[in-house]
Amino acid sequence: MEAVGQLPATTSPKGWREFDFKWLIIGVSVLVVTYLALMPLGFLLWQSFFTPQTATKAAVFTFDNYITAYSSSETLKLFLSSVTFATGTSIFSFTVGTALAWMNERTNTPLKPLFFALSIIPLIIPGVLFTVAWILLASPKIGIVNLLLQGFFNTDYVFVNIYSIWGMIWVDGLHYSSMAFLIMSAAFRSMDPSLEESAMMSGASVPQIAWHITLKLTWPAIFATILILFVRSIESFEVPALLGLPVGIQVFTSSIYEAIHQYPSKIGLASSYAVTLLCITTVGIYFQSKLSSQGSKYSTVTGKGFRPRAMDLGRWRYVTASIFLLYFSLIVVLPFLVLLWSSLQKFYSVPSMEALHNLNFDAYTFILTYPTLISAVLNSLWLALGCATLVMLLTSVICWIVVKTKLPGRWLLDNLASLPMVFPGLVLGLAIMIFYLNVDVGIYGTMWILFIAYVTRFMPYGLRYNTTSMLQIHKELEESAAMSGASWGTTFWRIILPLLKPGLLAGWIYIVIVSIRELSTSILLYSPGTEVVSVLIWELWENGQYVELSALGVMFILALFMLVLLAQFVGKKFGVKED
Amino acid sequence: MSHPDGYAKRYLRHSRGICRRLFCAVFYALAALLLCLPPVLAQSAAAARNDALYLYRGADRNQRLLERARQEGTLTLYTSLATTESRPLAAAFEKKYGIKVELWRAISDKVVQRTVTEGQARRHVVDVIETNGPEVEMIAREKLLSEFYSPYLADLPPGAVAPSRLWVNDRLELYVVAFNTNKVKREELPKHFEGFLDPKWKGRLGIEATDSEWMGAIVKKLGNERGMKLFEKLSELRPDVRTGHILLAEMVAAGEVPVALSAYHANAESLKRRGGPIDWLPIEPVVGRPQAIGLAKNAPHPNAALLFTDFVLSPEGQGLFNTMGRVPVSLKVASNLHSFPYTLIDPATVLDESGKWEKIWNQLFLRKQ
Repeated sequence: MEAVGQLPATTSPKGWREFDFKWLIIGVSVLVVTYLALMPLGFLLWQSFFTPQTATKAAVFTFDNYITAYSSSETLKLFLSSVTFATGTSIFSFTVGTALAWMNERTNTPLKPLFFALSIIPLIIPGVLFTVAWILLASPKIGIVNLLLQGFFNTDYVFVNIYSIWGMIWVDGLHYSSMAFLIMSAAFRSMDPSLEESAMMSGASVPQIAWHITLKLTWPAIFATILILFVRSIESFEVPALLGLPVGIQVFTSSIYEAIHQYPSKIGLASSYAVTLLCITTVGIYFQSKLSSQGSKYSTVTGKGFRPRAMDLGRWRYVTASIFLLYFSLIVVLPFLVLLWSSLQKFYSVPSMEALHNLNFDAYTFILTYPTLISAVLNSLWLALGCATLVMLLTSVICWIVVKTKLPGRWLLDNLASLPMVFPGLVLGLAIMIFYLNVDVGIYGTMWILFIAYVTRFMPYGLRYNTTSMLQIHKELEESAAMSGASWGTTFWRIILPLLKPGLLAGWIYIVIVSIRELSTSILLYSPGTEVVSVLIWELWENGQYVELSALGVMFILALFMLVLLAQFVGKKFGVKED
Repeated sequence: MSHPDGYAKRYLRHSRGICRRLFCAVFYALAALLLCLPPVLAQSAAAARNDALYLYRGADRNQRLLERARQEGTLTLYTSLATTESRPLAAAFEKKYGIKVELWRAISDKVVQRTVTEGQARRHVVDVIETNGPEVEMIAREKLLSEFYSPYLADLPPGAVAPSRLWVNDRLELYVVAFNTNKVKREELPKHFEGFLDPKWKGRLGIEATDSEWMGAIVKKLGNERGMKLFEKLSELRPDVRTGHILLAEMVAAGEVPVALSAYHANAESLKRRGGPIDWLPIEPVVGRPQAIGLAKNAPHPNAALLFTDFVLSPEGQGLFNTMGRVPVSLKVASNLHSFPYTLIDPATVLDESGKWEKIWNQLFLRKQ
């Protein structure tokens, strides 16, 4: 196999230097990832066997946490409702995201460049704002959609009800459809169209090609996407709390929440609940590794003149374009308009002629003169850009080891790096906080502790994005580079990374956005002077400044929209081009 | 294709080396964590010095305090008071004394987590803690607060100083009935909570998801039998359960929840002041929760901390609370915000009985029936 691996065996001084360099990069990456993942994992497992520590009672070893957590039928019930919710959410967001990605990457639908950035908007809107916007749209009592339809049909029938399991799936699924969109568009982008073209020549229709060729070839990406969507929605808290609780739907994470919000805080109990999530992820990653080990079955980026090209839909392209337009007007523009409307009011009120007279820009003035705004934006930008770049580079090396080598137990490395995905945010925050308070390396209370938290938290996502793209790159490209005398470093930098670009860029955009939104660990780890935007958002929400928050949300969406367009523009300058 | 063996072997040998180093690093890290987890809260010299200073009652107290606080120049405050009020409060103090307030604001249980975790690791950053009474009591039980004296304690009503003397009640959070003025007329509302059991209120009431302490206080006030009957009947009306008091108040103003039974007075009042269609009424029995202020035992800026606490409890600070719509406690400040009878929750009891009330609360209101 790896001619790349053979290369350092030459005894020339030059070869030796490169040998050193290669192992340095791989070694450092493995070390960093293992350290980042093991530290909170150790804390979580350790805590799960102890009683809470207080000033009067020392923590003692116990199995009670597991017994309490898993001997009650309540846990099972909550877990089942979580699974229902997560299954629905992941299927829904996968379908929406994949359909958009397919139209965007594999077809010649008009106005594509704009659609890419538009597809990411749901992800940009802060979770609480997105959910509340949907309450204002689709609640049975005051939802604008219901009010309009009721007025139109002259009835008091409730057309849509956001307070139901379907409402929860709808809101959470839409919110994370962008995540599916990003992974799948990366997968679609690095596909060799020759197979699709042969199918077309043989007379297959567009749906047939999409189903039998395109989807089958991207199976590892599909699996990775559904896995990550499922795990994420099982640990989501906001939507169930805001939409499920009013009608008595409770999920697994409410147990974790309840355990933590006691005195003394039962971190151990919360940790033992989280162990279930760790197991689910482990099983998922194991199956993913089975897929990866099938070698080049899914590699579409080969040495035979790879040129990604979109399919000509003919007249159908106007259909896809109208689907896009419909989707955006309903899903993206509607919540955005709700935000825009409320940002121009003094307090939220249902749109009316009377309310129209109260329009003003006070909220925008308030936000722009907010004392910590500038430092929070700068801090968040620094953290998000730094974290996204480091995570994507780091996980590309890890991913190379997992996908391209035959090292035994490499899936454990994959698994280890993926586990932080399911640590409850607060447990992760506490683990990092306690560790760096005790192991004093001078980062507590600085930006660096937030940086470490973000990198740990988003490493698993970077890994999934990279894996899907890495699986598509055939190893013959590396081999030919090695044959031509390129060192491992050169091959990695000049061959792998550029070919990995679709995944790298998609993952980078995703991590930038979610880092800016990250709250559950930031709120514990920030200090005066290291405020971040998400804390500012939370603060406005907690202060009851919904109107000001909407104004911030509107500016936030516009700014990130520009950033995504810019990233896309820069991305086009590098990597594989169409011609 | 070359044979994988040589490569894999070399890789393995190398990765074993990496693994060994890695395990060592992780082992040491975990060992360090283990050693530090059981905190030995030794009385440090700083704590003893702070205690003497906090309790000093000499005639030159105020003069001495001001001079030394100015030398310290800064203090760190951890609070859950909304920045719309905590910032102006800090700014007023900064303007008066020229001492900078480093403000860290989070929800009450995060204030506890941060203070306790830092305290256990003996990282002394915080000087003053101001948040919900029960949460300050938690910090007190973790032995992280010290008793202090302030001349303004004399202005406070009896019971404002905790039995442990480790914290002082500096303002109140009242649970009131908030209602949407477009959907409900003030006259419609009953005089007593039991009036809400009328079936006409079905589908119009809302509560907050974590208000078990509020229920506990009402049941205690009405007597167990009458109180429990009230809440059992109430649960049959299936009130809307909302997560977060602020969301509850916002939903009242938006018309989504016409009547909120356990709204925070401060939230309803601030929306009302912005012109929202919301108002509130103290419907009997009104429950109030003391909010408390405490001084860190190992405060790095003890003089500035005590001076700030003096300021908060003084008629000036209390008056500022009043104008910002927060309920003051000082008897020196006249306020129309609490000119009605109310029962105060006892923070210590909340902690001791939380398990019991939460269980009942979850059974009655959170589980699907």
